[in-house]
Amino acid sequence: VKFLIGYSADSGGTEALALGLQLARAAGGSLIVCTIVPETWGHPSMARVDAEYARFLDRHAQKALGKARAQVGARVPAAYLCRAAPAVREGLLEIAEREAADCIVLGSARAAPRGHIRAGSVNTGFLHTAPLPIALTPHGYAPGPAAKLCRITCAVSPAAEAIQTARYAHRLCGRLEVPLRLMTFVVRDRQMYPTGAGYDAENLVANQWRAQATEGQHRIAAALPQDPHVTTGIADGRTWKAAFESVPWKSGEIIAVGSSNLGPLLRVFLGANATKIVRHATIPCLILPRQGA
Amino acid sequence: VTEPPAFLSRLLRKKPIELLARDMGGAEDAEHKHLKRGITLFQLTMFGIGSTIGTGIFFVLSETVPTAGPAVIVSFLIAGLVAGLTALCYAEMASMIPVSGSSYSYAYATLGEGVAFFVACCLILEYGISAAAVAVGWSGYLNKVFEIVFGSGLPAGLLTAPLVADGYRLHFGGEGILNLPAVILVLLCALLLIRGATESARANAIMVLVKLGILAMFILIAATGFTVVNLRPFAPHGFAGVSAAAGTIFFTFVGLDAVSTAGEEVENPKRNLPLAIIAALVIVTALYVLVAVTALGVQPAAEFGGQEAGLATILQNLTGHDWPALVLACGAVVSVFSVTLVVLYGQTRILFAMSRDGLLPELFYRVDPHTLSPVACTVVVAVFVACIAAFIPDAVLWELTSMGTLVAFMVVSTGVIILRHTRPDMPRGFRVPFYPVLPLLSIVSCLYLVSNLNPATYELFAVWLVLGGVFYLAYGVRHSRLERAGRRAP
Repeated sequence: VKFLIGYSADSGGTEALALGLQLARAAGGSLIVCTIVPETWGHPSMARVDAEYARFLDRHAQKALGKARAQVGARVPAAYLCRAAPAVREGLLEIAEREAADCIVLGSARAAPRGHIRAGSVNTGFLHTAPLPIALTPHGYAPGPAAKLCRITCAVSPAAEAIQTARYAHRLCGRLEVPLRLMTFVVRDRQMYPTGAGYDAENLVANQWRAQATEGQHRIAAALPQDPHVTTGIADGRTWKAAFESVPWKSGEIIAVGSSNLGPLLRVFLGANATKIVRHATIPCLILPRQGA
Repeated sequence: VTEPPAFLSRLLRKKPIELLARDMGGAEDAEHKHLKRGITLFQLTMFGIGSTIGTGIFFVLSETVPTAGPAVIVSFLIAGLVAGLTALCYAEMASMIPVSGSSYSYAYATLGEGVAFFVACCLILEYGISAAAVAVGWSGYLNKVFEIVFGSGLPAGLLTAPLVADGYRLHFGGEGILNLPAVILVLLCALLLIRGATESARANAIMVLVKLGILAMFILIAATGFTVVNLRPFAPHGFAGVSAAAGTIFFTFVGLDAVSTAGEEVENPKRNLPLAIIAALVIVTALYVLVAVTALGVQPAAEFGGQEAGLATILQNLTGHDWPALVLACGAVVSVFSVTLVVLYGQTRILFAMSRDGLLPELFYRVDPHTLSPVACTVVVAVFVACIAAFIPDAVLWELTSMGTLVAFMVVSTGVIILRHTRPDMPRGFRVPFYPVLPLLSIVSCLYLVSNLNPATYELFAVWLVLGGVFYLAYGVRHSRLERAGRRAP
């Protein structure tokens, strides 16, 4: 299994590399640490336009990769690449294709609040087109050097397409040798005021949704290959934040979300509810491409 | 296989309060304590005002002044009094159940399935039909805005229903094809509900301010043109006219029950429930009466009939300027929009509760995984309400709403008396004062208002009840969750 790290010499790069290390060690896989630098004007010319700049960029990138080397050490096999591209996303996707990477790991935007994920200018693009899974870390993600991946929680809904997402996550769990947990979010912050239907009316809807969620989880669990390690859970709360906090999360756990069925097949496309999960997650997120039926 | 329960016992079976509490309880209730919302007296009063004003004062004068003359003021007082009595009775029944629900759920837990289904039929009139009625009134104000801003309104064919009420008897005629703005409003609200939009307590407070603001503006401006001559003769049709108008006007007090349903969610319900009901009622009634008095002082009673966007038109005629009418019409458009949203919401959640109890098909309680809201239920309600708003004239809708609400409240008031006898031990967060006089008075006054409604309304109501009854016997009685629970029990 190859994990492609979108590396830069800042906190985002360090976080991404830390998660990549964790994943690669769990999977017995390897890393491709890649730094993308701006393309320079490489055509030969008398004035050697941009040559100095290109040299500077190269030095800068090598320095960054050196830092990455130090972080990885000899714990997992890793390749270090530097590539010039007109855009970070373009460069990374090209490398991913050339090197047949299985997953791209990215850090959070610098503007994100500590412990949370926000999609920055680079991430946003990936979240709506990437042909392979995208892993995102929360801002300031720093697992210890010995931290191990211990579980993948897959966010599912009772919708039909969730079975495909769960299957994908289950296969992934098999390769990474970690247990799978299916999780459905029951968020009810939609009580209307004033109302003649009572001020508990939304509880009724939430309870029904919970029942549907449980039923859906059983259906999904039944569709997965027999596995005693699959557990289920319901995250419950008036807001997404409260729902997230209502269930225990382990350190070394990541949450996987599927793509919206509005997006193209086999591509990552973050839907409305998945966006909310990513936004409120305090652990790394893995966004899976949309799976066919 | 056990014998199916006898018909009468099916009609009378009650939903156990524990089951109701489980249905309506939050998830955290099991592990922690029930999370009280702690609605304050002020908030509750605002809820009462917010849900009451907007369901009619903007439209009802054009219909009722021709019936009662200037004595319509008395009709407002009578309707307000009845609304207060019923709201107090309702509050006692609501406070017997530790969760906050609709009168359908209270009736199911205390009076039995048959009564509950009957109440639900009335509630569909109170919510579904009143949503349609409000949407029709809204379209008049929207058209007024268009007229002032663009110089011409919508074509009449797209603004009025094809059915016309001739003495409340419906027949095709007139130039109307359908009431397009009303349909659009209902569908827009449904879209918002599907997307999960809500009116928060704060949004409600803002809407209350908008409504109070524009009504105050109307009163202040109209007061400058007050002429006593317009109030004479005071009651051209005698007390019969006043009573008949009071029946229709009761519609404008629908929504006051939003206070009663708060039940245990309120801080200190024993004190705050009646206070909030009375405070909201006094404020609302005072406003209504002031609006009616000033409107009548400006314009002779004969001119009210058939006036669309009545209050705005009165201001326009009085001042000779467009802007006061425009401000009022815009305020009405915004605030009535929110009322429609709230009323439609109430309707979807009541049907949701019924279908979860097995009395309606499963379709109504399925929650859509993408929007996390009951989409199918919302769509069905929206289509039903939109059709009614499109094709039926508002006068009929007002009367039907009054009918449904009054009958539902009669049942509730009777229930209060019955339960004092059959379940004297049950704890009540709030007890009506002057028992048994007050509930009896409530029943009698409801009967009085109902008796003044138009015969054609009785016919429609009867048809509706028969349809509901047939549906209950054919479907509900056998699919009820209690039926299944009864079979499982040894």
